[in-house]
Formats: sequence, structure tokens, C-alpha cells
Amino acid sequence: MKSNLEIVQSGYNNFLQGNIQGIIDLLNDDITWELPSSAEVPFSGVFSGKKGVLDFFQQIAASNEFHEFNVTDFIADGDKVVALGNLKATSKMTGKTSSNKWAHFWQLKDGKIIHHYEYADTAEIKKAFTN
Amino acid sequence: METLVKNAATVAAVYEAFGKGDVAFIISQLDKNVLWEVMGAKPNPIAGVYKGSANIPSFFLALANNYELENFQVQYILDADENTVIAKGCHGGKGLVSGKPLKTHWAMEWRFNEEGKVTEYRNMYDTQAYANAL
Repeated sequence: MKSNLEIVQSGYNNFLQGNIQGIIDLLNDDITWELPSSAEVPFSGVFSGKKGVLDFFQQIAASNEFHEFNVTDFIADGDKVVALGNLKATSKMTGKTSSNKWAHFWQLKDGKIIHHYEYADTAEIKKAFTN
Repeated sequence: METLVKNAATVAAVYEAFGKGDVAFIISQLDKNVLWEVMGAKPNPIAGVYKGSANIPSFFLALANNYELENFQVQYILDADENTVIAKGCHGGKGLVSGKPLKTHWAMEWRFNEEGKVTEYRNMYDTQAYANAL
């Protein structure tokens, strides 16, 4: 059986390979996937259930082009995992490029991810998505 | 293992001190060459990289001059790594000039040296919420 850390790590490997279904398969049916809400940013707010998370990744793909996405640290403690990293992306809506350091919080339950929260520089993201 | 538990206890004590406004205690837990990185960019009044424990009071001053924090909650302190502690939580409050409400979730990364002092601190929070409340 995979550890919670290995489950979260496999999620990032899937993301880097563009295998979104591979991420969806790691989720509990009651998943809540959250980023601070912003009217300008289509992939912000709360996404609920596997269908909601699929919508999140579709919004990301439609509005963002990634140039860099690096995970620098994983910190695992019981049923919680935190990943730290950075990214560089261009908004397809404005053509503006921004860099961001982020922290991802992962809560697991019985070997599936049930909650995800992304901490990022929301002012920087809003700037990239505002004309 | 002992160090590890001690580092998490230090982080818990720092939050307790923050709740009491005891900035001196917080400073006393930092290495003198600490790197203190606060997410965001100007005109955010608290954002930036503060270098050295002597410069940390200016961060707390910038915070206190612009915002009033309320209901500061620490939800989890993750201490699975030998020298890294991650904490997450949330707080409310308002901008002091605008009076507009402020609400954010936050995550903070604390890195310790062998002596149990903080060498690196980084916080992540809803920078746009801080901008909206300014």
C-alpha cells in the first residue's frame, strides 16, 4: 500500500505528464479543492467532487500556459502532506507572465485525497489575469 | 527526534507569543542571520525579504501600522521533517485605514539550525485579500 506521501507525489508526476485522469483517480468522491477566490481568475474558488476538480484542470489548461512547475519540498505528517514549490506561467487571456511560489496542503482519508488547498500570491495572479 | 519535537514546540510558542503581542520572544527564537520572506510585492506594506533578526521588528511594525488581525487560528503544525516545520491556519481582521474586512488562510514554513534557532521563515497568504483591505 502506498503511503500518503507517495500518493501525493504520484499526483504531481501525473500532472507533469499531463495525465489529469491519473490525478482524479487519487481523489475521494467528497474532495474539496480550493484556491482563494478571485473574480478575474477562472481556476480560483472551491471545486467540489471529482467533476469539480476536472473542471479546475480544464480551466487551468484553457487559461494558463506553464513554463516552469517545480516541487521543492514535501513534508508529510500522518494524514497530511504539504508540498512547496514554484511556477512560471503565462495567462492565455492577457499574455502576461508571472512567477509564483506556492504551498499545497493535502488532506488524505483512507488512501484518497479529500481536501486540497493552494496558497499562492493571489495579488500576483490577479495582476497576470487583468488587462 | 528530540530536536524535531522541540522545533515544533518552538513554533507553537512563537504563535502563542504573537497572540500576546510578545514580539521580543519571537525575535529571541531567530538566528541573527535569519531570512524572513513575506509573500507579495509593493505596494503591499508587509511584503518582502527581511534579512537578519535586527530587521524583523520592522515587519511587525508594518503589519501593526496597516492591519488589525482578529481570530488568529493555528490549525495544524506539521513537524515530520528534521529541520522544517510547516504550520497552517487562518485569521480575520481589517485594514486600519479603510476599515475593510480582511480574511485569509495562511501557511508558514519554518527552518531551523542545529541550535534550534529559526534560519528561514516564509509565509504564504491571500495577498489580494490584504490588498483589498488596505
